Amino acid sequence: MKHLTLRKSIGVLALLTFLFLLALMLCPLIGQVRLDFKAVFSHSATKGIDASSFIFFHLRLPRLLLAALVGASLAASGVVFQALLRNPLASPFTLGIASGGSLGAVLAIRLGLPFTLFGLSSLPVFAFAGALGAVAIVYLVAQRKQTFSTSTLLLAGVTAAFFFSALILLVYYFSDFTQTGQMIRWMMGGLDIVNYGAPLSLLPFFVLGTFLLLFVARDLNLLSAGDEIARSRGVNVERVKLISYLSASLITGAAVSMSGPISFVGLIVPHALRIMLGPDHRLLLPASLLGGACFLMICDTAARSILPGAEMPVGILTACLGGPFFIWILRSRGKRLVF
Amino acid sequence: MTNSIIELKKACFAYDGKPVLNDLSFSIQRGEFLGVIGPNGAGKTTLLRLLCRLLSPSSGQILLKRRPITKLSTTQIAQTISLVPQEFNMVYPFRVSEVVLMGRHPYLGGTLTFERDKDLNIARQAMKRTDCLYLADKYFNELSGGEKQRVIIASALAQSPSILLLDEPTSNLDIKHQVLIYQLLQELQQADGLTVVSVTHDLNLASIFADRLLLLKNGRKVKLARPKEVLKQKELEKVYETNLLVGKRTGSKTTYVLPDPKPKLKK
Repeated sequence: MKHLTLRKSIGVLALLTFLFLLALMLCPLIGQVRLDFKAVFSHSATKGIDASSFIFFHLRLPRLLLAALVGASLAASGVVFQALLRNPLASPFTLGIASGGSLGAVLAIRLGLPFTLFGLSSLPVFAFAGALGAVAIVYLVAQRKQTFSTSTLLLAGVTAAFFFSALILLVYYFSDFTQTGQMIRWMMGGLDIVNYGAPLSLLPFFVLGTFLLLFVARDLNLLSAGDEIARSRGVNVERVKLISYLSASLITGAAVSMSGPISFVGLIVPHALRIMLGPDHRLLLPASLLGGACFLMICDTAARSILPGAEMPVGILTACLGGPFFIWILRSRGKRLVF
Repeated sequence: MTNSIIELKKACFAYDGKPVLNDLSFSIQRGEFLGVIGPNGAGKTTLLRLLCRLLSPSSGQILLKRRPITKLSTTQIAQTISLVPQEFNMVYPFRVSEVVLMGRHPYLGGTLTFERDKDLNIARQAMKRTDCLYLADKYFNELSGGEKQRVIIASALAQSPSILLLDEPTSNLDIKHQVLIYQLLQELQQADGLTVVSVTHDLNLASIFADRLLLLKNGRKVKLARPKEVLKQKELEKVYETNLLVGKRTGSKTTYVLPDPKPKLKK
């Protein structure tokens, strides 16, 4: 009788943690300037600023940590949205969070407001506000008479996404070339930051959101069988849906506000892990946190090293990987994946 | 009555102001096999949903083991009543064993908790009872209709309920599998003392296996009695609005009901 055991889960998560730590050590050594592991760590503080350790600790490590947090957020919320909407094609961006965030971002660029909030410039603050605004609007439309219908949620979310995209075009139209250039660049999704401020400001949202999601992991299994079955097996369906929708939206919105919409992470990682580990969310959810982190760390390292003398936004790389990956899934495992 | 496990007291249910169930008062006995019959739209499925609190009555009261069902937690209800729906599919590739183990959900508590040996044993027993242990490692969605139905019942049994509610459990099955499912339900009722409430359109199987039948029409109770008292030709024809042939099976005392349509066009 095959089923998920605690032992298997611990084993898999230990392996993924090891891979994560390995990526954290090795990825910063790779790039336009190759670093030597010894040179980075043998340096003692008394000798003043060393180039190798400066690049490692001040340029590449904060960026890598941001990649880890964004990757973990997008992959985990992908898993959750696929369970919540009972749809394997759902992603963190299906319900308009990315479009809402992008609308905030392009408005910030167009208005050029020179303020900072908690050390953050107007752009991420506007993007986060836009994402939360989208979540609130979709929630208010979908919520009716204390019930929270999956199909209404999907329709409301997809409609909101289209509407925000239309508004983004409107802002484009009223912007000059420099601004539209900046906007398009932001919407490609990139992680080019140079200090620890971005990953640190993401951290509280990430911790709160993932804590709440792990709390409903087992309930998400039963949602896969439908609301009625889940409720008759003792799941408080309305509460689980609300917690998972709001928490997944929170970590997605926070991630998008720092990195722009990096597409396909929330699809590739959940599906790859589901094929390898099975659909049980008690393992799939924590595994997708670690797997998503590793995936985006490696992708971003590749994106900033692949072109000589230039750093490609990682969003372009993940988007290019996404299409072929899905064709491969449909051809090989489609039957098991989408019934 | 002293031995009732579920008691309805003037229970009503309205959907968007439109009454679906009216003034239902009756009780279900501990360990009985109750068949719920009636034409489409009579409120049979709604009644089933009220009994496991997927819906709450708009007025009146439902007592589960003499306590108002509204006062019980979702977990408490799940530990007493389990529901077998007409059909369901898993969106993701869960195995049969995992689907059956989901029945243990109300007993696991906490989050990220895993099934203990006791839970695995109960699930294995449930699969043995329903003859689907050999399917354990298969993917649920790849099973045939009859296999799925047995797995769904196994998953409901893994909940260790005292009441099993079924919504047309045999509507997608051929005659052989219909009989097998009903024989299984009877065995669970007689050997394990389970209370079985089954909504069905199959008057013949209901007449053979049920202890009592509840006949509903337009959300009202028409009759609640033993099958041979409920399955009377005149009354049934009135309720179902069609001509019927009702008779006694030779050799046994059970009643059979056949459609007896009058030809619409005369040559």
